[in-house]
Amino acid sequence: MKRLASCALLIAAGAVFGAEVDVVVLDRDGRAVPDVVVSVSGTGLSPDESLDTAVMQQVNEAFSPHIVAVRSGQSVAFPNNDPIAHHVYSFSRPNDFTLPLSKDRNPAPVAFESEGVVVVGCNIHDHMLGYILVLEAPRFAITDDAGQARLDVSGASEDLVFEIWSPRIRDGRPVTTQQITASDSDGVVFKLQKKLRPEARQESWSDY
Amino acid sequence: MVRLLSILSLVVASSAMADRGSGQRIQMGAEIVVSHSDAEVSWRDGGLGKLADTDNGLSAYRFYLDYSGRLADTVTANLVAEAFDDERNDSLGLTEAYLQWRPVPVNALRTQVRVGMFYPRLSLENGDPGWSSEFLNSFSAINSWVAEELRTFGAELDVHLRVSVLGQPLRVGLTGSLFWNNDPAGGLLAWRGWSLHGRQSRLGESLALAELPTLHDDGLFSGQAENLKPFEELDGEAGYTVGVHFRTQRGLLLQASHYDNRADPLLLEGGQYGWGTRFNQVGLRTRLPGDVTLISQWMSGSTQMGPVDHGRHAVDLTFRSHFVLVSRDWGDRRVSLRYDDFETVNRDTTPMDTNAESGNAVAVAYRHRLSDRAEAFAEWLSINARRDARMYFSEPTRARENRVTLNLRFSFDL
Repeated sequence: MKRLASCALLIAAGAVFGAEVDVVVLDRDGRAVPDVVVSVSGTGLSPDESLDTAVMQQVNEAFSPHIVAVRSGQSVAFPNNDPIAHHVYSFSRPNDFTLPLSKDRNPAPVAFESEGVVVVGCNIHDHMLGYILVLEAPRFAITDDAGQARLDVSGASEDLVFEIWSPRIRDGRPVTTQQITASDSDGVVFKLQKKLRPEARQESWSDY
Repeated sequence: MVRLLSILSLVVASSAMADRGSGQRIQMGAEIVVSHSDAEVSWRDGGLGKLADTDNGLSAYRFYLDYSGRLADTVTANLVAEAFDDERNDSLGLTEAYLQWRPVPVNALRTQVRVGMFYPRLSLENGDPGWSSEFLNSFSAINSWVAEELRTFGAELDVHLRVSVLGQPLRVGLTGSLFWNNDPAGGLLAWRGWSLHGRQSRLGESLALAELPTLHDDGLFSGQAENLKPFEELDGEAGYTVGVHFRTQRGLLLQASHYDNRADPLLLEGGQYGWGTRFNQVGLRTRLPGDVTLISQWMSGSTQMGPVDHGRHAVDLTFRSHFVLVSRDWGDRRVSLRYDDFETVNRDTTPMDTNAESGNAVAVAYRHRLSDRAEAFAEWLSINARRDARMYFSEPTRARENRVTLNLRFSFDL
C-alpha cells in the first residue's frame, strides 16, 4: 500500500525533482573535500532573483572565506577587519579590479559580470590568496567540512547537470560534472580521481 | 639614550593603540638584557674577541623604531632606526630609509622597486620588525656581517613570475641592484674576521678596529682612521648585486646572489681604504616534517686592499661561512638551534698582517611570547675560533667564548 502510494505520488508530480539534492565531494581516498563550489543547472531551474552582496573579508592577513561563489552580476564586499591596511586586487580578466586603499575600511562592493574564476590577492601581502567563482548557473552552494552541499532544485523538470570547482581539484571533465535524472535524484556523489592540490588556505609562501 | 628611549617606549606601550589600517604603521621595540660572558675583550673595545658584548649584568640593550607610511596606494616610505647600548655611540640612528613601489600586478609578473638605503635581499633569518631575528637574539656570522658592513645605497629592482609547473604553483624571481657608499665593506672581515651578534650599523656609524701592528702610526696601513666607516663612497663607481630566487607554495625558498662593491682597492680617502669585495651566497629556507623550520645560508667571497706586490694586493683574503638553523614553535614558545662555521684565508704575504682565522659557533635559544607586547629570549652562544692575529697581543690564537643572555623585548604597533 505504501509503495503504491509513493508510486502514485511520483506519477502525480510528473517526474519533478524533490526540493533539495545533497551533493557530496570525496577525494580519491574517500575523504570529504570542503570548500568546493557545487553548481546545478537544468530546465525549469530559475535563478534566485535577489542575491545579496557576498562578503570576502580580510582577517589575520587572510581572505575569509577564501572561496566565494557568486552569480554573474552579483557584488562582493571586501571589508578589512585587520588592524593593518590591505590592497585587494585581481588581474583575472575581464573581472580584474583593484580596490584603492584608503582610510575607508568598507569600500564599495565590486560587481562581477563575467563567468569565470577571479583570483584575488593583496598587493601588500603576497601570501594572501582568495578565489571568487562567477557562475551563470542558477543555483550553487559550497561544501561544508563533511564535503556536503545541499542544493535547492525545486522547479526543475528534466535532467539536472551538476558541476564542481575548487582550486584544489586537478580532475577535469567528465569527473567534475554529473547529469542525473529524476529516478536517481536522492543524492549526487563526486569521487575525485586525482590527488588534491594542497589546501589553498595553508599556503605559506615565504615573503620576498 | 637607549635607557631613555626604552623607558619612553614602555610608557607609550601602555597607551598604544593599533591604527586601523590607515596605511601608517609604527612598530617600536625596546629590549633589556641580563647577560654573562666569559669572553676576552670584545672587538668593539679594540680587541680580537669574537663577541660584540662582553658586559655582565643588567642593561637597556636596544631600542628600535620601524615605520612604514603609505604615500600612495602602491608607494611606501620606510624608516628603521636603532639605538644600542654602546659607550661610544648610543644615539638613535637610521639602519634603513627607503621608498618602495609595488605596482598592482596586471599579469603573473610581480614587480617591486626600492630606492634609498636598505638591506640587500640576503638574510633568511631577519624577518621581524627592526630587522630582528625571528629565531635567536644573535644573528648568524653571515648576517652579523651583513648587519655591520652591507647596505644598499641605491636602487633595487625585483621581479618574480607566478608560474605553474606540473600543477604546482611556483614563483621564480630575479633581483638586481646598483649601489654606492659601500666601498670600505670587507675591511672588518679582514682585520677583525667573523663575529656573531645582533648589532646593526647605523648611518654614519664607525666600527672599532683592534690595534693591529699594521695600523700603528709607523705601520703599513697607518692611513686607516681609528674606526672603520662601512658606508662611505670613495671612488664614485657603483657596485651591484644580481640574484635569483625560487619559491613553492609549501614554503620552500631557494636563493642565490652575487655581490660586488667594485671598490678601487688602491684608494684611501678620509682615513678609509677601498676594499674590493665580492661574494656569492646561496640560501635555503623550508619546512621539515614536524613543523620544523630549516634555514641554511652559505657565503664565499674575497676582498682586496692596498698596492699590488708580487701579483697580490697588500691585503688579499678569501672568506667563507655557512650556517644551519633549525627551529620549532609550540604556539607561544619557540626553540631554535644554530650552527655556524666560518673561516678567512690569507692570500697575501704582507708581514705582521695575518688575517687568517677559522672557527665555529653554536647557539641555542628559547623564545617565549609572554603577551602581545612582551617576549623573553634566553640564549646561549658559544664561539670557538682560531685567529692568528691574536699572537700580536700575546694571546693564545685559539679561544672559546661563551655568552648567556636573557632578553626581554617589548614591542607594539603605534
